[in-house]
Amino acid sequence: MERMYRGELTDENIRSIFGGASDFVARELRFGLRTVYYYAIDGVIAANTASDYVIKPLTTLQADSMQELYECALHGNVYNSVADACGDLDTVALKLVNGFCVVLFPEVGAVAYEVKTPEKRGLSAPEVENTVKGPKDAFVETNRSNTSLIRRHLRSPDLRIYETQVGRRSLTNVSVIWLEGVTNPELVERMKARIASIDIDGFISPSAVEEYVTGSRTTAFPLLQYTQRTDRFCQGILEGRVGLFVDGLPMGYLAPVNLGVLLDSPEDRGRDFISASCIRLLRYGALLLSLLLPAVYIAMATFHQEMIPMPLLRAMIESKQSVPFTTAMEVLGLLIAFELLQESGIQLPQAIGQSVSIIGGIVVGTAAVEAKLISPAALIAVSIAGVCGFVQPNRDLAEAIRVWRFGIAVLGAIGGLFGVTVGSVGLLIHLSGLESLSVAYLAPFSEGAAPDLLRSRLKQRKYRCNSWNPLDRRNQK
Amino acid sequence: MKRWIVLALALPMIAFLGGKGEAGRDVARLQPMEVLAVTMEDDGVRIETDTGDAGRGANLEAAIDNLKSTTSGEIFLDTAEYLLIAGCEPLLPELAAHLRPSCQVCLVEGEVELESVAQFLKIHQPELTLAEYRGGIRTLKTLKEEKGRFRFVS
Repeated sequence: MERMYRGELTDENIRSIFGGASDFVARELRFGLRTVYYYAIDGVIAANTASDYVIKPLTTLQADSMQELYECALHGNVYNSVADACGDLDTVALKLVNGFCVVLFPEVGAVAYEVKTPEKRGLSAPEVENTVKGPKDAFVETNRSNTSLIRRHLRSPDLRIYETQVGRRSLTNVSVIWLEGVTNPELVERMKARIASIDIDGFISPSAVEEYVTGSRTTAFPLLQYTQRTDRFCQGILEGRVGLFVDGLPMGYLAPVNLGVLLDSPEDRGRDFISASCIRLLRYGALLLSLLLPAVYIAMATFHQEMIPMPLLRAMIESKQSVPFTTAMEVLGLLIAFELLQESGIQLPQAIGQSVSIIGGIVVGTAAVEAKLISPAALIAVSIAGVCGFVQPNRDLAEAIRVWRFGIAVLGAIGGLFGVTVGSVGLLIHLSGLESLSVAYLAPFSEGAAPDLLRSRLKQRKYRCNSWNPLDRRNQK
Repeated sequence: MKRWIVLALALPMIAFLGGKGEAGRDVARLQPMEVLAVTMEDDGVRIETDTGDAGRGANLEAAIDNLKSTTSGEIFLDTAEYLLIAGCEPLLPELAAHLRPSCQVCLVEGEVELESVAQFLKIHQPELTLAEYRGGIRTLKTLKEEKGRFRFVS
């Protein structure tokens, strides 16, 4: 990274970095004839720890020169677990914003001591990826807490963590995690290279992470897998994938990713393989229904009525008799209404969001059917598609499906089943062209091997997924 | 760049292929029928449906056109489950082009009330379908209504 601050390591220069910020603490410490300077950022450090384990021991140091004082402070006479020498202003600034206090020994150097505040959000259960049996510790916003959680689950000394800063102004700590001897080094290098190439002001939002790490993102489909669950993250690392933590985001990212992985639920490993396989098949079915049902309904009701069984067609015609809108307008309108309801539920606080969903979904929906503004069949088709979208374990995938569902529904309204087919083929072409860290997105379906549609018995899963090209393919005897 | 060229070439082709299909008709406009009766008369062909609609014409095509033009909404022949014919067996190959292959056929003797005959036909199937007729099976059952009761006569 380009140097941010130039100049000598002096008191004036260090003070000028923070420009008189109210939380910046600068203090002179005098030991007889010698003066050293203490710097910290209030709130980022634990003041008590700094007083007891840095300032107090410093005052007891005996030395004949500033150089000797510096050596003593750096090599053990100040009992602090982390003491790093700072050679330039950039290092001093980085240490200060990362929970270190810095002591400047004029004309000799500076030493940074780690005195981070213990104030951070405690571990809690994951909010989105709930399981009945799995562990309940979810990632938090603090990078180091997350890496410690991983260390607790994966005690292998082969676990590697590479840390760097991204963002010119946010200086966000980013950690790349992998398992030496398992993960393909090319994947690690690609991830490091992607991160190194990021040159932006702030690296603080999930979309920034996803767009910059995956390259130019011209797709709605997720090219990184995110998870709040430690067990899921560790499982990904064990499979030979690369992990990524971004300080400030309460989740871990895994790459590469493919469609098969996105359809895996953490609950699959908490169930017996028979139930998990059945649920997984159901999930694939739900994916297709969510994507195609509104489009197929429009196509059949507008172009291919002869394909509808007679009793169903009669019911549809009867229910549509007094509805003033065409089937296409009805379904597309309902899809938009569904999206609006979902969006309002997200924006509002949870309690109000639920009320809006109930009012919007049940009250307005029922009233609209009774007022014959929409037909029950269209409402059912859109509702089933919506519910099937919620079955998907990955929210990003479900949202991509929502976008494509709308597009394919429009094509269905224009060209019937021909339009639906064009849309589906277009989607397939789009997915075939996607890559995550140079691994094909449809890899589980394109390598000639049967994809893991079912959750096989763990005893039989002796090899890691070939898509990630791991160094050690065998994961058990 | 290549991708855009492929897309630019593919779009007109897709539009052309899509344009070759039928124009859509909304399900709400459809007039579904279950029983279709076709009778050969001295001056042409008469078609009636169990929905109470009827059409006449010098030939089958004209009768169907007349039926379609006089019906409120859009008559939907693809839902016809049963075809009753009177004196127009030679028209069956022509009728097969308008109806589903699984549509069942029988002959009719005398007048029958179409609104109520469907119930009887559902239980006592005519058995012979248009597809089977085209396949060469020509044994048609004959339906008759006597004192408001339907029965097949051999």
